[in-house]
Amino acid sequence: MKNKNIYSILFLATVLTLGSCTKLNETVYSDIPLDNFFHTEEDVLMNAGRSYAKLQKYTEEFSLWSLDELAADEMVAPARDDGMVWDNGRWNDIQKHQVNPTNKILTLAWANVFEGISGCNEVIYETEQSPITFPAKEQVVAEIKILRAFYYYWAMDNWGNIPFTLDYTDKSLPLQKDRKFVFAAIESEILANIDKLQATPTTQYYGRVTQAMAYTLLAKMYLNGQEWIGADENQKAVDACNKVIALNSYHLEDNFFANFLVHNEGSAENIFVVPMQSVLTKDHFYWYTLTLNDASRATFNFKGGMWDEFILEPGFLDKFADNDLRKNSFLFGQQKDKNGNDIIIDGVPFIYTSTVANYMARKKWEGARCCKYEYQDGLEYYVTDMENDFVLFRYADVLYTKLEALWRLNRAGEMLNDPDLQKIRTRAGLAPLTISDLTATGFLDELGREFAWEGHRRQDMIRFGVWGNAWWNKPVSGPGAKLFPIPTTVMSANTNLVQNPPMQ
Amino acid sequence: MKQEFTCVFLKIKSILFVFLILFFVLFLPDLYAQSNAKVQISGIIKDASTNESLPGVNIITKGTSQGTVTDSEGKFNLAVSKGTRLVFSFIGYEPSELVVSKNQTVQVYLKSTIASLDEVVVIGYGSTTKKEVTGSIATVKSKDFNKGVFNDPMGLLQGKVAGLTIVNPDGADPMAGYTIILRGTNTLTSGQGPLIIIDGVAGADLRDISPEEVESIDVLKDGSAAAIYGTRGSNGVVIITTKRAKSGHSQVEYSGKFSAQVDPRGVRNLTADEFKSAINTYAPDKVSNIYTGNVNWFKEITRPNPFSQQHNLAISGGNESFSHRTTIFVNQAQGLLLNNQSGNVLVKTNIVQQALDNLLTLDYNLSYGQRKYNPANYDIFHQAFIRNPTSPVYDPSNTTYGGYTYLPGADFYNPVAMINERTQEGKTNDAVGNVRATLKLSPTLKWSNFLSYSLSDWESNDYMTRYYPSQIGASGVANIENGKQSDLLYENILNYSTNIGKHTIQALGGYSYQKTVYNDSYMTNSGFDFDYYGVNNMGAGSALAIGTAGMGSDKYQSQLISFFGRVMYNFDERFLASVSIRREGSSRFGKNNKWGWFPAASIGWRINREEFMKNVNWVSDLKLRVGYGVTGNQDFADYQSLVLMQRKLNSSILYNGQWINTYGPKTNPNPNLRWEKKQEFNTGLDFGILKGRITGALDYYYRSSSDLLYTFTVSAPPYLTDQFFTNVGTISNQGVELTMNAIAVKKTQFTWNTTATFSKNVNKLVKFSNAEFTNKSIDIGWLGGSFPLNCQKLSEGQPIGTFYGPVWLGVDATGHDKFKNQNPVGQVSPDKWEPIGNATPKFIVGWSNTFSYFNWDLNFSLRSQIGGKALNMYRLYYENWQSIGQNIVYTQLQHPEFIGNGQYSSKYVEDASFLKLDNISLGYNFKHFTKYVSKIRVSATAQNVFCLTRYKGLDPEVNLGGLSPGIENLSYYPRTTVISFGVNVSF
Repeated sequence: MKNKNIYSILFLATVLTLGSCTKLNETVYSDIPLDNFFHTEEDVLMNAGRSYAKLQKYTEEFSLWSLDELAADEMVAPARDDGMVWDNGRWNDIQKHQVNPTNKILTLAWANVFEGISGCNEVIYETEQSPITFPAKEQVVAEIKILRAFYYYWAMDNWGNIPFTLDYTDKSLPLQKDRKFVFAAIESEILANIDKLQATPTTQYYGRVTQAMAYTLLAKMYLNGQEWIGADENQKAVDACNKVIALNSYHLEDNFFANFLVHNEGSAENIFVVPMQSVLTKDHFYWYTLTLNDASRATFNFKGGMWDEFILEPGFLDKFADNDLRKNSFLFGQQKDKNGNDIIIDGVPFIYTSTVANYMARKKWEGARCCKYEYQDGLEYYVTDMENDFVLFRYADVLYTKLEALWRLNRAGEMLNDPDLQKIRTRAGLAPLTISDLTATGFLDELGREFAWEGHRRQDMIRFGVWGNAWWNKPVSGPGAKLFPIPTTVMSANTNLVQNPPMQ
Repeated sequence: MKQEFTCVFLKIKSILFVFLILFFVLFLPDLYAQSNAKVQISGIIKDASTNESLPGVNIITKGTSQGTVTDSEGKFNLAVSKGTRLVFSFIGYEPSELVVSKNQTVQVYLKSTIASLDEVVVIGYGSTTKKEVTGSIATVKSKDFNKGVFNDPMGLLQGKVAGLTIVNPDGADPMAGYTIILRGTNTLTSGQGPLIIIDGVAGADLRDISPEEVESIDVLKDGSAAAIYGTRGSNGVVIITTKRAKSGHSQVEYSGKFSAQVDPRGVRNLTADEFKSAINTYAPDKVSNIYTGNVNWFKEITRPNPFSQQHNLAISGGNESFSHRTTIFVNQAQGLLLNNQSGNVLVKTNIVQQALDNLLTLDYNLSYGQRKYNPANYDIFHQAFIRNPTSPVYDPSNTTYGGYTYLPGADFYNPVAMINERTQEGKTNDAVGNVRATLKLSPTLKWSNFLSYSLSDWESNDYMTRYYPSQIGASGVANIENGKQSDLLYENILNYSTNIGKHTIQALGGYSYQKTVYNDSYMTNSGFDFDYYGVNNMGAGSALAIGTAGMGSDKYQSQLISFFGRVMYNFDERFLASVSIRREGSSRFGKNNKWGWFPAASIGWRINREEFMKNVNWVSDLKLRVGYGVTGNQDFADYQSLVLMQRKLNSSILYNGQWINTYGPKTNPNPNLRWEKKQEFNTGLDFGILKGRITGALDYYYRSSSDLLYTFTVSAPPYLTDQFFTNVGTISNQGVELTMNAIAVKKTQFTWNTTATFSKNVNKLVKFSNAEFTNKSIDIGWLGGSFPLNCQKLSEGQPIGTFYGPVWLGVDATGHDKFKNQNPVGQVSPDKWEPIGNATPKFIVGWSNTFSYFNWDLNFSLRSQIGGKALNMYRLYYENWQSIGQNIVYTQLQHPEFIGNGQYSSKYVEDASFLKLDNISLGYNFKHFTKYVSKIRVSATAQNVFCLTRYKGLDPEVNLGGLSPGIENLSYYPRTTVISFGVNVSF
């Protein structure tokens, strides 16, 4: 009996051990394991394209654009009288320059920029490491390096003291660097790579980093030199602008709004844009939802509910003369539907006013709205969003940058007769600029009128020294307000960082 | 509407059915006249476990009071008519019956009911008796289950097992399940529930069994018992055993339950009159929000008395070589929310077959279930809460919105439209088949092979018409989703058991292989010309042609392989020992760490069997247990350790004039990803005193889980993405559990049994950092919405679920909140936040009582959690005047002088201690029997009867699972009181 037991056990044990399966491989079905990727040029480009795709987040509700615009005096999101848009004060805090490091818009704005940077670092490394070669490879790497410089320019502008790394293989936590360091680093990176970039713009290079874009970036950095690194770089700014002008590939559009049409890819003025497509890049560019009230749906045939959050800050509309064509960037007054009839809601004509009586209870018709970017028919949030390519740099910016740099060098007269410069004003239906217009307030106002809601205002206001002033529903703020705080989640993840002084 | 009509029709049908049965049973006279032939029956009655004869046992003819009593030697001798059914009963023992058909001499064994030490306890891969158990295992038999109607069997156990917290956070949703936590939270990732094993199949779905069919539930609480399940045993193991095939004469059992929910309530907001007067008095600048209607939105979206019914029919029978138990279960439940209901049918059979002269036993289980349901959208309750009560439901002039009133606002929708303009349906099919073949190789050696295959497939459809509030302009949105999951399990076990004198040894060794494959797909389209199609003509939507329709599919698989063994040793029924080991590998872990070892050992000492205890008669049982075991946790998503490239959504870019997709890494690679390891030490004392009148168990445990899995936010660069899933940290739980049963009163016709459970658990996140992640604290509990902040912290040295926030000092004279350490603008910066309470209760107590008086029985169960706190989100959002315009909470009227806005602070973190009467049930057992009917019982039960608490929200029993427990949800499903009537008949 005992023997039988022992033999049975032994027999079964052998059978079981030999016959049993111990394979634990994972078969992946719905994603691509790394060994199956990076086999062709297309793979390399699809991976590299990721860095560009991060730019698409710039126009969203919670983004760097909205953070900068709300902190400036041209956009505001007051609490509505029906209790909406208060959101525990997070929009109000930005307006008042009292941003909390846990603020969601701040956190997402940071992510906007730094995901772009880490994406660039990684893509540069992978593209350089990949054994696949193709003719454009070196140019693509140069583009991504300058794109990275662009993201760092954004970071430097908004936060000043930022974690800085260009080396993807370095696994340690990045160290915090100040503006001087970052400025010098990205200046040299741009200068080292600019010649590898495409000089003349063609459809192939639309939406990509080109020489004109790189020089414009340099020009803007130099223009802010005094403010950021305490050095007068205005001459270098003029030289960089001249480089763009010398390319002879860009000129001003006759119609100001041609740059912001639904199909603005034909604009000869736009230098660097974020291309958008209704469906392929949906959920990124949806200003119509953010700024309009439901009543405006009759005007543009939109579907879905409008969020009615961002309005033109009261006071800004007054900067426009009535005959300034650029004033049509904003919707105000009696609204009309598609057929030109007045819109009447509940027996009351629907009129967008440019003032707001109570900043804690804005009525739904209070506040002028933005329509600078042409709204195409029948849009619906998250189904078909705006297809207009978002403009980051355009030729008018280059001209005004050069003018301002010259003005700061007391040589503005050199440029005032430039027909291109004058065209900026004449196409808006105004007289060209004269030397008496170029006071600090006058110049800043003109920049405000030309570049409203394009993400410039904050940088310009700081440079002209008015950032601390009081304006609509904003008290006086101190020098600390020039830098945003570093978000709390970032501070916790990287112990090398020291928080910026409070935004008082 | 059509569904409502069908439901009513079914209601009527079932009520008629029940009446029919009762009629048949009560009023049909005996068809067979008793034969006059007499037969002689004699014998002896003995105790089943001690084999001692039992004098004084009552023997009566069933249905009468005629009979006799056994003599001093336990013997009896009777002459009765042929076909008489005799009942043997004795205090302290379970009654037994016998049908007398011929002259015979019998030996009748009666089983002791007083905390039967021979009670079977199911352990991993086997079973033992209660007196031999050395781990910490709780067994609950069907007679002790909670009474009432439940969505799945875990409701039967609520409050019955010390240390096992079962919470239903989703109230009266007929599709909702329970959150189960054993001995505190042991892990930081999603897999916090115990391993569920149903009839040997690990990881089975609780909704596929009928609560009526559960025979017993055994909970393996400590490490030494659960270690044999390796990487899935860390949160304990719940083993559910259903009623098995039984040989003997055929039995038919029917049980029916009919229930209705009464007095449903949502979070208390303002009525239309209160709303108007509040605005006029306190917020006059909001008068534009007063309209002409008077609407109770909660009533508009709910059924006043949702009805449900359950029927279970079981047939069993057979002989020694072939027996079966087949059951049919039908369940239909209406949810509280309109258009929300669920119905399912389950057919199951268990067949036991003997072959090869009883050497081979084949045990088959086949079951098939189909469920049809219309799910609930919890957000509708939130929308009904905030909606202006003076705004009428309908506005016929508003044709754009389909005749419903429309009020502007982001995420602000007419809840009646949300119900009427959407159809959601789902259907699932679950089939399980398994067979266990056990071959007796010798009297001591058994070999069993177990093969199980389960296949689940489901379909879910969703159609929103052109007037669905959040989709106005889309012209109808249709969505179809399909999925399938298959699970293959194979086990091969060798069992050896032998007795050598006073030594008893039981050993087992085995191998197990489990593979799960999952896939699903979906398609969505919009822009339909006619709502008439619903989801049945997907191609007709115009979005397809313009490229805005959507589709997707997904597939995953994983494997789990293990080798395990156990030896149990018993010396003279005094010393017990058990040692087990499991070597397991899971495909989910990194390639460097796929396999792990899980050992366990436990010993027991039955002190009452010692010589020195022989004369201590008032102690009937005293056993000391000590155990230690190591278990793991692998309940997270597949493929986390690999580097995978995924297509980025909505991120195409224009390159060379063409739009191309972009790809990026999905996760950061982690080849060292390994299982969490939980080590547990448990010591316990099982006791029984006063001849077993009072029994119980006291346990103390200490468990420490290390290498906790967690997704960290990392700095990207240098990481690829900013999330990294890795092992770091240690968490400990220690506590005591006490279970006491007492037979308080035992007279002939009146008994009172009572059971109390008490548990206290102390949780501590011991370590949450390593060389790389040096942050000892992480902010969690993101509230989102209007409060973009984290309300809790995971900190080293603190328990999970600790709320951090500003300390509220009251409302000042100007009507604003006052906080400790507030800055000049009345806010407290996050670095000054303090711990303001913990979500986990300090003590959990359960108390159940059963009374029986003649044929009546009464049951009630109370449950209490003492000391936890919950964040009342409704008050945080809506207890202020800023929010009015929408509806607000009623509690704001109690202190209207507060004019500040809602700011997160300890003001809203409330004491969530409660005392609930979970169920109370009254039953009656009929005594009029015919030859065909052996048992009839009717009962009336009320569940969720009352809740005593200081919590100002709707229900203090907020979710306790997860990393941020204790936070109320704005989208919720209320709990209701349920009244049900049940009938059980056995033929």
